[in-house]
Amino acid sequence: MDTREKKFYVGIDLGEEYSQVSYYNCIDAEPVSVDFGTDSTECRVPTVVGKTIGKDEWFAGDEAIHGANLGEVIAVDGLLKKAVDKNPVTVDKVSVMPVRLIAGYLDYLIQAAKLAGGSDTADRVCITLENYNISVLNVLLKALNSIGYSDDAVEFAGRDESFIYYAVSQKNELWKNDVFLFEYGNKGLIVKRMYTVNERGSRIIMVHTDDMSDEVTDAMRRNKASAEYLDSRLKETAAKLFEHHNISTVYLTGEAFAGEFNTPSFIGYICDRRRVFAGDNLYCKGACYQAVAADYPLDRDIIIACKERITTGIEIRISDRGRDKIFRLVRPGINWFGADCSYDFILDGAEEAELFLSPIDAREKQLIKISFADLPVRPDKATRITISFSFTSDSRCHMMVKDKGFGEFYKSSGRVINEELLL
Amino acid sequence: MAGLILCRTKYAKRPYYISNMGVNIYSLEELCYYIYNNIYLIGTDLFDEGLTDYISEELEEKELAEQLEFLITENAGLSELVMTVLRYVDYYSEEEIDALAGTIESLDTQNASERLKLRADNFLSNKRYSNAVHNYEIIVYGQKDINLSDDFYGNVWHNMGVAYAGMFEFGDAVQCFKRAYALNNNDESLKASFAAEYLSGRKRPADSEDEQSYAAYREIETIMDHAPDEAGYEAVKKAFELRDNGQADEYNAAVNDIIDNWKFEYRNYISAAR
Repeated sequence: MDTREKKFYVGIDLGEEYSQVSYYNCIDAEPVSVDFGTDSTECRVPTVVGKTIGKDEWFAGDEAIHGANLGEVIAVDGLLKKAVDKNPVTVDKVSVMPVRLIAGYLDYLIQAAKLAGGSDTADRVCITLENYNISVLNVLLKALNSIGYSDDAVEFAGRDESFIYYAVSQKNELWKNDVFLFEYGNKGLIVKRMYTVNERGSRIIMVHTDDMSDEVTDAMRRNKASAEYLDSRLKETAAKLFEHHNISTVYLTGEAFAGEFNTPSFIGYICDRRRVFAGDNLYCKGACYQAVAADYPLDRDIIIACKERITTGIEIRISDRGRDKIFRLVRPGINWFGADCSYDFILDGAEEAELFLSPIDAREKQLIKISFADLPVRPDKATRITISFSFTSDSRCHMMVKDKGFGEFYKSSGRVINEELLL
Repeated sequence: MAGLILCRTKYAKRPYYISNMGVNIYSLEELCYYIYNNIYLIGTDLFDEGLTDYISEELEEKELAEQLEFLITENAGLSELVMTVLRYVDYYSEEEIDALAGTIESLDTQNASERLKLRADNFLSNKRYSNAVHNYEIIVYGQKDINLSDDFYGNVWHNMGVAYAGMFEFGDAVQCFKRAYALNNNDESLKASFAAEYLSGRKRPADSEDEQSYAAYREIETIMDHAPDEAGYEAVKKAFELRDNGQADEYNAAVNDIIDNWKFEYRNYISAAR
């Protein structure tokens, strides 16, 4: 029996101003966005929490805004920024750590998904966010831990990852060739192209981003009088970016493409021999697909190589029952946040570690030697070391070699070798 | 050669105590290391329920534990038990394991007293004096093997004397060395008996009756005079320096450390095997 039928997954698109949440269960068998509005179309919910004045009563989203408008609630916004600042926030004379505010907000979103999906539990949560950096991620992880979600039950995604997961979770014909995403919101137009490169038997999926916000600005969509001009600018931009590419599908997202939008020549152009979809919840649903994929991975030959993913594997030469062998320590194609790992080795005459940085594309492997000269001299096979890797971005990794001694036969010297690796 | 062996099995939080050597092990690699380097010390008694439980529960290597349990039930020999462990873990190379198998095989060809002496000698070199004495006693007080020479038995008595001396039991050591000399006629044993006698306080150089004992006493005195230059005396010298500098607290701490260390060592000397 497919255990997927019993599991409940939640995807969250966490924005600075607005957020969305979706869920995946066996009944719908695809992500369903949670509706927070009265007209069944409002999936966005303000990223705001609030406290009733004089009471220990907390709200989130529209309820917090509504309460604040009535003067009964003190609302707090900018939660992600406050979380990174790490300073306590005073709300109605109560000092609260930002991580607690974030935890309350995430709990609100997850509870809403569980209620909408008819589930008592959420087995896995994936959060996608634009500002994908370690400070924010650490706070979010801590917040989720505090409301009962262990590290294993949590995934994080950047926007490119969510785009990829959304696209590759559709029928194969929809991503057989390149897939374009036009995102047009208050930052202007950003266009992403998802494409696949076949390399050494793997399908490497990458995303190229074109920031077209100078050519197609936010102001243009707000100025109704220049709709015709905007239409032609969008069409020109699309024509320029589509050149030399075989395109299967185009997705439109962002406020500009929500509801009715009057850009007939642009729409006519992009719809020519291509499938076009518009919606405002692509990232949120992409996060939900990623949560599912943590348990039910995509095809093994697919390697996702967008900017949140490690595109260079790390390998080491080891001795396997007396024979030299290359052992992979870090697999390329995994998200750098959560890629931290450590392995123990026994030194058997090794004076250095031979590491190979192995890019997923056709580039040559790079050999890096880490000397063990700083470790104490002991007989062969009587030193155990831990080699650990911690990532601070997709291309930056801190390597640490720690002497563990050898039980009670040889006490640990506590010596450590540190190395920064640029992947 | 890479020279880096990947540890594929768990490093336990709770150790397993091997009383033969008074040592804790935390991993299968350490177990292999212990076996390989103490092959004369170990017997099939190492592989008991306690060890298999530890391998199964703490190290979570149920497959190895089951293999060993089966071999124990079948009364397998030492070689088979040892090879099972060493081959399970990627730690020693095939060549090293084969060499050890050869050693175990040669142990099997020796008679019981020879094997026992090797075992006892290993205890002695590891300063497990009480265990060493126990094994030497089995040889000398057990049934005499007519195939073994007086030299062999003399050497057993001599080594037993060394073990007693290591535990500061110089009176017993004197008796052992004298019996050793009577059998092996080796000057080393005679000299050792003089030394033990001197250290026991029974005799002084002035009491010496012959040239040989006089020379032995002089030699001991020379060693004692040079004791402060020995590496083992370094910690004591440092403690005295602290005292002379008026650093009373540091001096007391250093002395406590030294005494604790001596106590620890002495407990190991006299602790008995299972």
